[in-house]
Amino acid sequence: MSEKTKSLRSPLGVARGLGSAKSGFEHWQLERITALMLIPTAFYLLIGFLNHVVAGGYSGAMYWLQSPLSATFALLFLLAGLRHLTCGLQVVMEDYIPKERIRLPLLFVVKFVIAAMAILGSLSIAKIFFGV
Amino acid sequence: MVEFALPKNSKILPGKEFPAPRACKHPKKFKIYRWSPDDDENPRVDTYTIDLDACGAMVLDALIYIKDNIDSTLTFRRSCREGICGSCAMNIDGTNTLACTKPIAEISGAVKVYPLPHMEVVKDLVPDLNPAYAQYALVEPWIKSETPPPSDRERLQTPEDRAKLDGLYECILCFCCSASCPSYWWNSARYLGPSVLLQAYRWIVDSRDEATEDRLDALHDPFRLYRCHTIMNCTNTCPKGLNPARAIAETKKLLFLRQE
Repeated sequence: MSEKTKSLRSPLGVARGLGSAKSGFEHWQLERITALMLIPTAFYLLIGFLNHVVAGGYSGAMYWLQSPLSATFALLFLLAGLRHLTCGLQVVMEDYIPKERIRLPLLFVVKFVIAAMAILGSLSIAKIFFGV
Repeated sequence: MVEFALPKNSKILPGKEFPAPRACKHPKKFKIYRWSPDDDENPRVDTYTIDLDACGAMVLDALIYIKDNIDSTLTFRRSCREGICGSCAMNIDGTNTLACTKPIAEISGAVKVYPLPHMEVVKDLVPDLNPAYAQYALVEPWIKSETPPPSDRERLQTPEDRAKLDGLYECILCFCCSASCPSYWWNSARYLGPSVLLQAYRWIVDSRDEATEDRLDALHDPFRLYRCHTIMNCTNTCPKGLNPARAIAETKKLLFLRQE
């Protein structure tokens, strides 16, 4: 067996490790708040989608998303959804990827891509809203 | 990534067969995990067929019967045989429980007995509980108070405050719950696990304790506490019928209340 030499640190020393981060609540709360925000916004967008996009096609969609309320809901849905995605992916990665040198760079890439998606999505909604 | 397959030297091989004694009226098969640190062999599952008329009603009775009469090398922990010491915690019929309070009659077919999952095995059914005990020590499970106790009596507590400890003080630290928790399987180096978190909460809600702030600080960590994803295996498996998932949720609630 080519196992590493067993640590001679005491079990209590290992258990204490680097100590408590004294954070984690905000992340946990944000994951739940964004989940709650997704419920009404998803319903609103689904109903709007059926009423305007399915019924009215491209011009219906444009008209619908140019109303301030629809654009607000679309933006809320987009940003809450992406924030929720970030939180969730981070939790999944912390659960299943024990090696920090893989997890931390991967988490950075995920956050970078999601930030780009948030900006792209917001600009797209703004473009339709302002009709440019 | 998480290792989903066992390492080569941990693959479980078929083991020895110990057939039923002659003139056996009520035979029952026990398939028991065996591994010894004294040789280089892989773990194996030995099959013992015993006569239920010859031993007591619980799985622990059968294990003791096998050790006394068939195979004295079978190794397991046991002490009180009445569900209060927590020594005989093991995986029986796919669920972590105490061998001494698990009736053989509840199990149909062969009785499969394995050590608590995802803990290092010392030998056979004996897991290494040192890391779990160290995590228990981490939460400093004793009363901490700057106010000295009354000189003529013990520290008092209202009946309502005492009632808050019900469902918590009964925990016998058998670690059935922690060993049933996937979050603990994957992250036991940093996640404290349901049993230790239930014990931590037992001191957090104790009205006589004055270290709530430090206790909450020690738990306020993405790994120590927030690895709990409310999977509820802990509550499902607890042989004492306790609810560690609730204790963890209450701890999260307290962390919420002190922030908001």
